[in-house]
Amino acid sequence: MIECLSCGRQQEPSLICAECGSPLAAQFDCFAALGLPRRLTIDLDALERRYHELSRKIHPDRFASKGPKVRDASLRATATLTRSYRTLRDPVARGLYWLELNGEKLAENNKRVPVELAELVFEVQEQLAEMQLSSDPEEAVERATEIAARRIELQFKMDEALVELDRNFAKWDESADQKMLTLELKTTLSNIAYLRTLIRDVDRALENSKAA
Amino acid sequence: MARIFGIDLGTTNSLIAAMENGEPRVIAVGENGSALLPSVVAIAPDSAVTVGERAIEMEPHLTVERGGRVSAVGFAGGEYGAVIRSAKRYMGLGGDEIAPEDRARYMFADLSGPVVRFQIGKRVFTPSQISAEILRALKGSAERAFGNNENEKVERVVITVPAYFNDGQRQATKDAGRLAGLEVVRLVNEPTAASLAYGLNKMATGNVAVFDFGGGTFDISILSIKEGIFEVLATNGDTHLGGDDIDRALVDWLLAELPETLKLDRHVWNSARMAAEDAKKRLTDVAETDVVVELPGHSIRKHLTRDALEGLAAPFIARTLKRCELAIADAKLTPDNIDAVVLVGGSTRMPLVRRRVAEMFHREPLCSINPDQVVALGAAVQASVLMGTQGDMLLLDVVPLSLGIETMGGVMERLIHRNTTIPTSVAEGFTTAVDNQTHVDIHVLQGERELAKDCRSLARFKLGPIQAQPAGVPRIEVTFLIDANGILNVNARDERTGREHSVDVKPSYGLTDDEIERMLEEAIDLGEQDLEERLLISARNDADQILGALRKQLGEFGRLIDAGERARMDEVAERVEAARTGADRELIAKLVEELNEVTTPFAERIMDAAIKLALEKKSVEELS
Amino acid sequence: MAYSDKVIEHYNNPRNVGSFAKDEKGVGTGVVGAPECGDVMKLQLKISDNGVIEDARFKTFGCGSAIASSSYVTELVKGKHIDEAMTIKNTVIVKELNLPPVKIHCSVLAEDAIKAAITDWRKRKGDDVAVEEPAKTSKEA
Repeated sequence: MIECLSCGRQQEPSLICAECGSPLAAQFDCFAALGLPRRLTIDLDALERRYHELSRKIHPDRFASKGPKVRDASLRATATLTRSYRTLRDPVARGLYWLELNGEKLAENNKRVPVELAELVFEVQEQLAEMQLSSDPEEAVERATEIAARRIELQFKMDEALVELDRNFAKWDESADQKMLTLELKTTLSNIAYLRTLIRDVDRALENSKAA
Repeated sequence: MARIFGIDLGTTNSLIAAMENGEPRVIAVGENGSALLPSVVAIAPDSAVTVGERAIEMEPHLTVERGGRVSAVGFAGGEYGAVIRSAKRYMGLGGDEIAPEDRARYMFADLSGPVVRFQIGKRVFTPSQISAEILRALKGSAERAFGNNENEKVERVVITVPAYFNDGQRQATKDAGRLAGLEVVRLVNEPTAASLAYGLNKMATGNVAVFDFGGGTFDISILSIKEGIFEVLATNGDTHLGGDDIDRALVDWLLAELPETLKLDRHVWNSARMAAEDAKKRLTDVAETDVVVELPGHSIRKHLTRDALEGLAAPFIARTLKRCELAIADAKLTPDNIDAVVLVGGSTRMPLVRRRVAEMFHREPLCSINPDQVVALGAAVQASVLMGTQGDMLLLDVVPLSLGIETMGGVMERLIHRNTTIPTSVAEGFTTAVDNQTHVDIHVLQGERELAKDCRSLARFKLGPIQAQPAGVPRIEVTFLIDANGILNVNARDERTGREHSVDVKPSYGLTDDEIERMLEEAIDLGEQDLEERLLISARNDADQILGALRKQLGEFGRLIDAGERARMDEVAERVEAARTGADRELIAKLVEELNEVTTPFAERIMDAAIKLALEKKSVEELS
Repeated sequence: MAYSDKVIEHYNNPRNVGSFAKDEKGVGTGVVGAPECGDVMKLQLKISDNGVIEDARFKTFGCGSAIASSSYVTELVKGKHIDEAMTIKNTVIVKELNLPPVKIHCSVLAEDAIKAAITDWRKRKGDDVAVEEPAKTSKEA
């Protein structure tokens, strides 16, 4: 239970006081912050509407002339709302958050990298290293072109993984076999993480080579 | 409830605006009834302050007087008083962050400290203090415009800042407001403010890009507008890129043939800058023009075409476009997803800027609201939102730069990513590394680079005292919260006891609260001096200035005058000296004028000689 | 935060970077990932017939902590018997390198990589067949 600083009412954690409508600086889960049921599949348009609606009610701009306590509550409540919205809007962040809610750790019993993916990582990283080491400008351009092609391939794999993630979400919402699904979800999220790091490194290297 | 005003504290000009009958309006503050107050502050050796147009007149420059004589006028800088323009460029910077080309422009006090300080007379001034003078002038003029009505005091304000301002620059802006005796209810990003001014009537829906190219800063913001919610998706920019840079390139071109020593002369440089600025403005409407800089006995006359100007400006504009690409990518959009492009800032008047922006976004940019006023108008709209008189309108802005902490090997660990909607917070757990450690040091950084040394240091925190325990046992949760102004707040809590920890903040740059208090006291002292006394002090300073300059020049160039002339000068100088100890300011002013008169031919000869010498030297160098 | 010179040294000049030839005798390979940060690490051990680790190589394309952890652990296992190496805990690495909490997973990665490499060696030795080699051999970066 938390207490509203404006009217003193004791209530269940929420961002808005049920009695007087003041913002409440409570810490709680992202789904509850946005008043959504705990489901992995989310209608993004509805999520945005809900976020805007709540922002209108609790944003610090609405309390600019109020006392410091209410202003502080509004600030913290809005920070919670913003963070919750960003977490749920991005499917990867949402998936990771879901594991956390279920007391799971992404890395637990999940160290193995699929052979094909590991091969890809090392291959691309070697290519990046070669590009950075090549002193001949012509060769560097050639390498950069190769890597740019690789970048497209990686994006394709990333898109596939995100589709897979959506599938994991839908399955979870419909099924009860959570043990199996946890493993699948973890695998998909890890693969996305490896790809994301690789893509980040590729983009950085391409950016550097462009600058040079 | 007192009205909240909107202030655009610009690099070149500043404005104040307020809502009138549901419409934002700028308030006339300039002497000629203009809404623009030049962001120029002149400080006499006694610290008497002049702001705006009249401060520009006091800038060191060359002037052509009756009879075609060219003479040097204005505060020369340092002990002779100084005129500071573009103070915004220095806001929130540490001494070590001053660019080399800026070092030559002003006299700085010790640059090793965490705050830039201008040395003027016997005092030092921080950029926040200079900006506070501009804010004070805006406040005074606005209150006068309302007929000094007791109910129309300017006390609560919204101040705009470049979207790409970092934490330190924002803090310095807030400090300026405080030093001017204002309550800064909110800092608003300039491009976002502009979007509010545009979106007010139409309540448009769609994606908008705001291209804000001002005198000293560049911002690009991408917003999504939906039913009165203005949500910034991404922002990017450069706080040291503006029309000033184009002017400087023009000055370099204008003065290219002059020897280095003359180029650096504050009088010559400023005169060239004024000529460059005028020429740039003329070329908005005409295809070619002549640029003239009158030096004593020598004038620089060059022909400038718009094409040539565009050639000089192109690299700077290319840099703005690069920033646009990054912002669009961060917003996860393409240029074709942008429904409207809005131009803000005086530098967007350049035809080349308009062409390049149109090419980039595949559409003609909007500029129906005066680009000099749109930010101030938007600030007034935001002020009205804060007063609760703007219905459902709400602004959701972002933090422009990532925030993180220094970890192993000097690596930056990102906690809050750039373009995260604010307010936002993140909690991070900390523990001790050795047994019985009583403090944990945290170094907070802002920036996008991987290494801590390449990011900007925001502050160092010391957590503790922590109860002596084995390493790794204490659990301290530190919450980093960025408020709606984009400014960081930190607090720490012991996870086991639930007790709040004290956080000893040491900002890496900027002023401490104590320093601000001290400055406030000093400012009040100055404010209380009565007008008559100020004028007297000002007259004495004029006397000191001319006497000092004369002595110096007689020492160096005494050979250029004959005995008769010398005797007259000495005689008038003595009378000035005698009058300055008295209290008759009109007499002092009259004698100073007289001394000015008798010394003018001498001053001209000195300038002629210097230029001739320099030009001869140059041509010898060229020949050899 | 203060770090020992040793850590900085491992970070700046990592030891034992590289790979052994694909089919070299007595080599066990472990490929593990840290999904928290997306780093992938390959660690190879050259192990004598009686189970003593003679040499080690690693490749990590990741953050500084991951590189320092792998570098340190390759030094640590050299000369040790595999049974002893199997008992190395990530806490040793954390303590030695003074890793901050946010980087503890890097030490876990190094611990797991050793275990995976030894398991791979045992499997190869037992079956005497080539197991899949995840990365192509190439010149050292």
